[in-house]
Amino acid sequence: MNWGALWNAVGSAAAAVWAFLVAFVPRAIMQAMPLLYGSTGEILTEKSGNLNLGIPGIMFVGAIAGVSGAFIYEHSGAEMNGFFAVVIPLACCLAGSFLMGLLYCFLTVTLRANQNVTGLSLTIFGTGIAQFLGGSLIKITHAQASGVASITITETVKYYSDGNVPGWLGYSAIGVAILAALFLKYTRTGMQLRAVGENPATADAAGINVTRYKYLATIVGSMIAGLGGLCFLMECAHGTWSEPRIDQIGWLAIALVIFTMWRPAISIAASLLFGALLILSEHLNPAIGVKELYMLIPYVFTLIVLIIVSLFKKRENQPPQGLGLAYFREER
Amino acid sequence: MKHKKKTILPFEIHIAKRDRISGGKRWLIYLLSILSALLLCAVITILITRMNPANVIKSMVEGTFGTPRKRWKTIYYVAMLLGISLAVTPAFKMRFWNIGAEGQVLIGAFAAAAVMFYFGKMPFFNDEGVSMTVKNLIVFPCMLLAALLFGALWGFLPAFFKSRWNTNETLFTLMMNYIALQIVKFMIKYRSFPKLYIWSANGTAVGTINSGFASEGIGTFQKIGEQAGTQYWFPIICIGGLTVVMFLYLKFFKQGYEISVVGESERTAMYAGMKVNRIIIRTMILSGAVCGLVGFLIVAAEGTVSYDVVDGRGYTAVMVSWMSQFNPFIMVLSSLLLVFMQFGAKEVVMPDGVSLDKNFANMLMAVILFFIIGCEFFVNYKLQINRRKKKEA
Repeated sequence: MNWGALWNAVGSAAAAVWAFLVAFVPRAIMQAMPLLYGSTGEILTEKSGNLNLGIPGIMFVGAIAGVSGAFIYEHSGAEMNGFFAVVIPLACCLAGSFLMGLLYCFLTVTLRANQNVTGLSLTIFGTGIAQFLGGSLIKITHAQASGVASITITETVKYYSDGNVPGWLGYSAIGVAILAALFLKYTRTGMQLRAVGENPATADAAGINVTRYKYLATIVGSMIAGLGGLCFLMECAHGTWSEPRIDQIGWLAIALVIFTMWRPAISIAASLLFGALLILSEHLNPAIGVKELYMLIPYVFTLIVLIIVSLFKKRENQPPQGLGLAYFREER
Repeated sequence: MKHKKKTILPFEIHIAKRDRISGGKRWLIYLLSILSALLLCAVITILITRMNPANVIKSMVEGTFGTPRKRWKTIYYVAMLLGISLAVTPAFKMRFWNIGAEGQVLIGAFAAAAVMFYFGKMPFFNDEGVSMTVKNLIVFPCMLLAALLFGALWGFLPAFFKSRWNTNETLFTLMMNYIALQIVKFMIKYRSFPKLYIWSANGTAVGTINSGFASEGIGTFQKIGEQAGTQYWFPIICIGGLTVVMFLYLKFFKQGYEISVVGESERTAMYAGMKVNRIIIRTMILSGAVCGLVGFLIVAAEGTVSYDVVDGRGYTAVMVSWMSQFNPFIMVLSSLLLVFMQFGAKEVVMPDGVSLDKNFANMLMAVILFFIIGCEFFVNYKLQINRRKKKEA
């Protein structure tokens, strides 16, 4: 037996697998991080009893606000400064998603509107405003020569990521998720937040300000989700706005919340899995068209997960009891 | 106590639930909120375009109703959006959060196109001796049946899992959208399924729907009238009929009544002896089948299918249905408003050459919807302003 040839074959197979992993894993992590931001934000929101279906729209607004900030900064003629290049997009993104969260809260908490419809229209609103600005900001500001269709930021993006490796914004998603998990489990405020989500009337009777908790949790949650949009655009899309599929990321993030049964820590692993599934099709080099079938995988997988989760009726795995319902003190 | 209310105002606002509200007052509140929403939309548009409002409206009207062709197209688009809105309404009235209309229409359109495509390859349909009428009489019912079946299937699956295991229907229907999208994309690319070049290539291109006799009109309504744009009349009439039927179904039929009881309270329905699970599944099958019907009409009118043939209308239909308070006749107006804004926006070209677009119109529509869902608060609750007594505290 030719042991040498066998050894070589094993060696080259291992090298191929290694090369695949080296190319695949960083990109999977990169795809996973916006999902993680989105699901962490949505978990915080849902723990307060608000089911925010506006996450895709909020992520869109976070992304376009951040990118517009970066774009205007780059074309302002000022010399690039690392501090501003990082802070301006970040601040714009947070401000944009803050406003979206505030709008959602005003409608659902103060005006007690239906959460599903409010969320859906928030998504349509966010998608519309982002796609409109993404397509026409260049022309409105006269910044680039006509013919360039989409916003491209070239300088600022360097401070966020280099190439196909996740940058600092991506990795901080893991930190945010861990912080959220600790906050919900071990702090007094986190416990009270959970109480608000489970049964607002009881929490109210215990002296917890339900309205304040709902507002704060939802707004902070949507700001975290907004960071996911910025993260997607700066890292996965390399700072180019060309019909980004942020809506898809946002919806998958909401699905992740159910998948992880409202636990941000599990969300880290789950979003890595989803991130891997999302880009699997690009790494398998299938025949023309079959790629489209590979792209079915994350959705079919989500469906199966949704069904399996709904089969388990354990008490710990259930959504907050007050999820989706508006609270009115006088209505008992 | 730390949460003693700090007040600056000399009065306090007390919110109380209304027992009932008179119909006139209710519509007044809606009307006022829509008017203020439109006003805000106008302000936003003027701020962005910096154009004379009269010019904006003029170009929007011209863009929508300027020529006979545009008029037909507008009415056709209104009809299609209206159809999808009608389709999602029963489910929404039942408080079943079906946002899968996009996928249900797409898969229906796809099924109809697939029937057209494979029939077009059969020798019988290439036989010159058989008259066109006979061919059409066979093709159309089959297309319709396939579209209804697939649409209904796409509606049935989420309803089944919802009623059996309480699976989250919002995400389920959403994932079904993506699944339909990927299947259609796969079929278009891999099986070289009909693409958009059907008209340009005179039906000679590989994989066009009615290869060989596009000009004779099998599977299209192109040749029914002589004027441009008249291939749209059949879908328009269908949707017109559907509007009336849906109105009657929801208002006067037992099933429609059951839907609204389940929507109000599942418990009430259960205690009244209704089989809630069966109602949910039945309504979603209906909803999906009507979506499939719209898909069939789209394919029949446009003669082709592409993966973006629904173009987000599955989502906007949800807005139309909700802002019309589930009333089919108000939906006609709402869809007209939406299509007017979407078509009109494209024609609004600012002095520096930038034009508004569909996304902008969607954004404005969402603004109007925000006002409408916000104003429901004033329908359900009343504000009492009590003057604070001076010697309180």
